[in-house]
Amino acid sequence: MKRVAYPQMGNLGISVKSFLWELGAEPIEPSPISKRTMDLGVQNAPEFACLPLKVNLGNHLESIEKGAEYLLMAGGIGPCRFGYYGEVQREILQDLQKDAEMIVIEPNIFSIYWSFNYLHGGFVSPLRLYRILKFAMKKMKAIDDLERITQYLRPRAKKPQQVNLRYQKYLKLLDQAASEDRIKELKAEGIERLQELNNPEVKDVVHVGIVGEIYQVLEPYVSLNIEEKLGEMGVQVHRELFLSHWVMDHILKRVDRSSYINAATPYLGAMIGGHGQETVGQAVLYAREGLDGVIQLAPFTCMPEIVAESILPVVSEREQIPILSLFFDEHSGEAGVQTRIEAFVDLIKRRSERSVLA
Amino acid sequence: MGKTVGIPRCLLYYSYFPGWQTFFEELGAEVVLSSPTNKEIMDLGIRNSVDEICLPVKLFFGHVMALKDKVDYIFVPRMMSVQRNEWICPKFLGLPDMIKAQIRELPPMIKPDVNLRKSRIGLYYAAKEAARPFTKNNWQIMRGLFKAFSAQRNFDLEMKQGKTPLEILELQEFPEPEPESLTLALLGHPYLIYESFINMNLISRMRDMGVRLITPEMMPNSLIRKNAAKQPKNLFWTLNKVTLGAANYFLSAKTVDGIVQLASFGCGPDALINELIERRARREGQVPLLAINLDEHTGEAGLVTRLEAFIDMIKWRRVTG
Repeated sequence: MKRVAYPQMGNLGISVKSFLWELGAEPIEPSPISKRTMDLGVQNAPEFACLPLKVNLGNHLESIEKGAEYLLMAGGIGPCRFGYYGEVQREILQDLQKDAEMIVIEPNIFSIYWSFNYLHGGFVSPLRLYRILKFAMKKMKAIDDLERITQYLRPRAKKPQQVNLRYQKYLKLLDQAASEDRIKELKAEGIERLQELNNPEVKDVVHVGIVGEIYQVLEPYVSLNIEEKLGEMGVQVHRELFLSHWVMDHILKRVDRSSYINAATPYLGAMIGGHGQETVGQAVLYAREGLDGVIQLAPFTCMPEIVAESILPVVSEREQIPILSLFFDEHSGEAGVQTRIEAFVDLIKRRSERSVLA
Repeated sequence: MGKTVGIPRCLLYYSYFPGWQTFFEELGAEVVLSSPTNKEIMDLGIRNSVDEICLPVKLFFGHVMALKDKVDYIFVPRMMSVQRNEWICPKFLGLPDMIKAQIRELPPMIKPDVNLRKSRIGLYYAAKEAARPFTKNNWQIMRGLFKAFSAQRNFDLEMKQGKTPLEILELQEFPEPEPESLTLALLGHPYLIYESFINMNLISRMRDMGVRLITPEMMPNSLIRKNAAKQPKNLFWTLNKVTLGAANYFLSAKTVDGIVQLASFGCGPDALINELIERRARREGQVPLLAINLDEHTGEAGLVTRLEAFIDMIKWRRVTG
């Protein structure tokens, strides 16, 4: 069996792990991102590369220590830098004389099929592959559904910590689930157990939309658990970026993008790579849906998000919604982010009070 | 005289200006350039753009600010792609939108989408869009496009013969290098290596030192493409593909005494690709490489010292080696 490692991004690992098991490869789970992961990445990566490259590289290096022989990465055809991560990381690992092969899955059907066959070490019939993918997708969707409910409940529970604990518990259970029935059962049970924590007396919840770069949004370590922090402040977080959504869009079939593209067009008239247009479009849509504010999360030097950041002030002005842009790098400190989001939430709360009075 | 079109003297000005100028003049417009970058323009740019963006785009903001009250139209093309299956960079893709969002009281923008990613016909649509304020006559547009092509080709040919855009567009003159002089390759985006203000007159400084300079624009395209293809995965940024191809060539052919590589702070593709080049140079260890990162705070003294030390080191290598 091939010992395959993959980088950490939110809850992606749970689905990838079961996918690899089903495919007949041995997944090497990445160690949870820590200070050490960051340091390893920052030491060896180019100085001005974006944060995900550095963290992924740290993940790879730690996984190689754990005995990984193959490293799984996704590719791309630009213009976002993510498409070239694999190449750069391969050369860095080569210079470090690490003996691991990098498998880059390009977003076309041949490359996907070829790399999965390669991981399996032989021929996998398309039908079998489809079943395996479907199973992994089920898991991913169940996790995303639980996450959505968690976002809803955090500001409404008596103790937000309890919500997080229960959510983590069901993530662990889902990680071990081995059949579709079990996933279904766990999902129903999880939803029920989470909803028990709902406190109907809580009324004044503010709504904030999260937009931005996918890695920054989905990986709580690098964005310093911003969703949990917001939840504890009585904010319900909304976002459209979920893993299952992304995988659906990029690997299985295109989802309809017209809603956010139409919303973005007056402000940003072209696809600019990454999630740039999505960020602008979604911010506009959140404003029109009547949310109280929008927070943009992005890694430092991320090109598409910088373009979006330049445009968001106009969106904020014309659509009448407060927008906060937060850029993160390896030096981002807990206190700084905490202060900024506290101030932002205060502003939103005062603003909505005023609009009630007027 | 007809209406005036302002072209900011930065970014792709150094690559496509003769073509743009001929095109607009054929349509009966008058082309107005902003003055060469100076401190004032840079400060305007820094003040009017977001902090995170790269220096060349900040300069572009400054040039637009300097031009906006002087012209009827301002030319801000959305240069998406000039080669099949390649891109320029996300910031160029969003350039007109960023300008519109950040700068108030702009004259009408001419902002054609130049997208040759799928097919070259994109250029015709771009020309049609760019010509809209002046004419709808297809014949005139085609003739303008044709003349622009030949002007651009002459410009490209002149560069292939070893002239820099500084000599062709800005009419600067440099001393002829002596036969025994050093040969250095100067790599980087055209809007960095030819932007004399932010690179502290690097080209004229080096030419005055008697160095013979080769830039990627002087090399045959086929050679660059062939050498860029040494990278296992096709690179999808046109400008960086040129740098990478040229670097690969010089590192393997060893026809130059050294490589000077410019990057700008905050440039995304540079951060990755220059790293690849540096690693390759270090691994092979044959051709010395000087990597310079430019930002708005780059000090002249520091840069000159590094450059002189680099050149001394090469001369010394020559003597001993």
